Amino acid sequence: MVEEKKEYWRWTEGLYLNKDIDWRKAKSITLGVDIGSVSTQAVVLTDGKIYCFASIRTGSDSPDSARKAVESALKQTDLKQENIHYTVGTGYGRVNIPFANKTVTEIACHARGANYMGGPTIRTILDMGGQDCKAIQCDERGKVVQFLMNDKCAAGTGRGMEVIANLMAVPITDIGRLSFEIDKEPPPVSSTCVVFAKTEAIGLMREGWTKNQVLAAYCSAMAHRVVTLLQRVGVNKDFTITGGIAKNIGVTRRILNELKVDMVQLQPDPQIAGGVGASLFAADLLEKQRKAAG
Amino acid sequence: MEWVATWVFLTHKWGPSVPKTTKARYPTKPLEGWKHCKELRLQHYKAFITARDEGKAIFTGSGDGSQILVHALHDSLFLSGEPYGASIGGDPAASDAFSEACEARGFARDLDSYMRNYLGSMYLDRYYFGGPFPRPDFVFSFHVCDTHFKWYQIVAEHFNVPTFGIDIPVSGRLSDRRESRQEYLASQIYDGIEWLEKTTHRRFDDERFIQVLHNLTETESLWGQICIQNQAIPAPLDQRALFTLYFPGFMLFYQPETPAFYRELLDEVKQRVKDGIAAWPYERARILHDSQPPWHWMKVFRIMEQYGGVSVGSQYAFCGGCSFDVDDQGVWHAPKTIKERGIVLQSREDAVRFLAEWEVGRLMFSVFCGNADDKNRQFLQMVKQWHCDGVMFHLNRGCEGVAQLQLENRLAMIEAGIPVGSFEGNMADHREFDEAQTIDRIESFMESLGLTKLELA
Repeated sequence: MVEEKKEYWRWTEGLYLNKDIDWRKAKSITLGVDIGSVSTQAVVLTDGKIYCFASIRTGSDSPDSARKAVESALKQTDLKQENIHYTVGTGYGRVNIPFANKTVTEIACHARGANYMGGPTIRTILDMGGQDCKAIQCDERGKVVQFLMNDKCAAGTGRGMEVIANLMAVPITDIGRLSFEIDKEPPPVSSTCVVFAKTEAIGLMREGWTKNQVLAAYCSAMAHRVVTLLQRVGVNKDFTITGGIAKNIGVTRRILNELKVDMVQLQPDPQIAGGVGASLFAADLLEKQRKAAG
Repeated sequence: MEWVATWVFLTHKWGPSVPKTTKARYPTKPLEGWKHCKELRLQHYKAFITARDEGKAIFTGSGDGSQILVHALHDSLFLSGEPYGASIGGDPAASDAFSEACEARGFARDLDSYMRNYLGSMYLDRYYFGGPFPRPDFVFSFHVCDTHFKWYQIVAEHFNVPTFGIDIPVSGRLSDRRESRQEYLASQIYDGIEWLEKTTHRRFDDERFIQVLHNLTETESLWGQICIQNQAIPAPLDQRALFTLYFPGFMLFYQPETPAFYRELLDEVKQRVKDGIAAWPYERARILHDSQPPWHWMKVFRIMEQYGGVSVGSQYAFCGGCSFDVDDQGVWHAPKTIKERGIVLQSREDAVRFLAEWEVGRLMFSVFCGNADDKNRQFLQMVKQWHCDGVMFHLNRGCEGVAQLQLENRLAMIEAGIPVGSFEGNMADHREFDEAQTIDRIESFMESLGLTKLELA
């Protein structure tokens, strides 16, 4: 009998619509599209408020991913793409968004989005993306003051977590919870490379470690790795985490424990911070464009 | 930073294409000396192809200093490992073939990428500029880092040729134990001269030695003056130009064509400053660069330019071709020539002493000292004198020597309130480079300086 092959790495795609908003009354309708290596978000703001968004998996084709994300966000409403006044693209795929008026880097967008969602007291943002991590410091307006990125290795990123989910045959959304269902916190896996971490995890299982212990050791290693990055840039309060890994308590709680700080939880979804920031930049640029046009 | 460029908006209401153009702030035009410089470089490398037929000696080693002594014996060709490795590094296909050939012989991938390119070329017997690898008659090298010693030991063993290495003392601070370091270097220079005479069966000509030293200081003085001109706003030269133009001064200082070329170049650059001719007509911010660039992806500077950022220099380009004089206030000046210093070199002893002093005092060696203080001070001074708005560090995995203090330098700049950006890469191995991430880092840094992308036609 052939065992069914499960895709444990598949995280839940997200949709949101604020039904209290009537987009027809809005003077400004802006779209931010954040194409990352693992996920793509499309966020629509009407007069500076989140109206709807979609968060989907990025495919192999950036323009197609952008289109799909926008379609997903808009299919919840009768708002059409032609009704959108201005679009800003961000993320690694930003240059491949055919309908974007302008591009802005995701570092600037995550800072701006975190400032909007978490408030003006946010000073340090950890963006844990699919392919890299960024430690960002910003001012009270969400303007980037300083930032650092990890190197191009996938360890400590969403993609690394996906690999571990498949390897351990644990749904990615359960990893955080299960990583705490242990008697004693194990030492973190030692490798900083996702390929070797995988090998190491297999070795630990052979030694008799439970699945949850291995998950804990991997979450712990990932947390420790980004804490080092954060310490290089400095952690000022308030602190928050954006990106998909922000939803994994196995990593976030361990980061907070190590740093001995609290974090501001971003609502409605920390994964959309880049898209929100892009949409906010779009609103600024729209206003500038309108002023210039008289 | 004031930005006076005008934005022209067309009144297309909502559509995605809103044509805008940013007006240039300054006039620009190509540098006339550029072509000549490229020719000098190519001539140098092509000369190795016919050197044997012309009866010329070939020797190899690191850096440039060893030429000062060897040219006192005879006209010869020096294949310097770093610039040769850099040339290969600019061509990813060649670099892949050469570094893989080197790695297949057991060399680790994280070793100096110039060295891996050079050794791979040697093992495959393929000279990058055509024909077989130029077999050296001997190895004679000035060393400033550990890799240099092992690198040329391998070369000497491969070709079974004699080798001699001179250890440039670079530990501690530049000012530490200066006299004893000079003495240590001078004693090795005497040994080196003796070894050269024995190995080549030629007499070491003191007059030629002194003449080479005159050429050296004149060339370095001229290069220093050219670099100083780049303090002007707008900068008459950008970093890419500087990296190219410093080659003759670094490699070909011994020949009279080089100071002649630099004199012409200095005149041209002075004229550009006088006429306000910019390297990049949209200059809005000036960036100091650190380390060798990723030669395979010089676009790093283009990315900055798209935001109006001009890389106006680097310690590597400035000091690689020139030993600047620093006054009591720490201000950098183009170095004085031997004549301008009022020094008369009459004997081998005079010349050896002068050379030892000159080499030990090189600002460039601060990167190898293992102590960040000197380089931090140099950076702060360069930022001030070249009117820089920020520093961009290429965290270079290809060169252990130049990279060793970079993170400490970065912290020192942050503490001084200077905006700092960084990207990771490798000067001569494109496999260790992530284009998307590099663009991201540079663009984010430019945005953090308050710059927006230019709208260019």
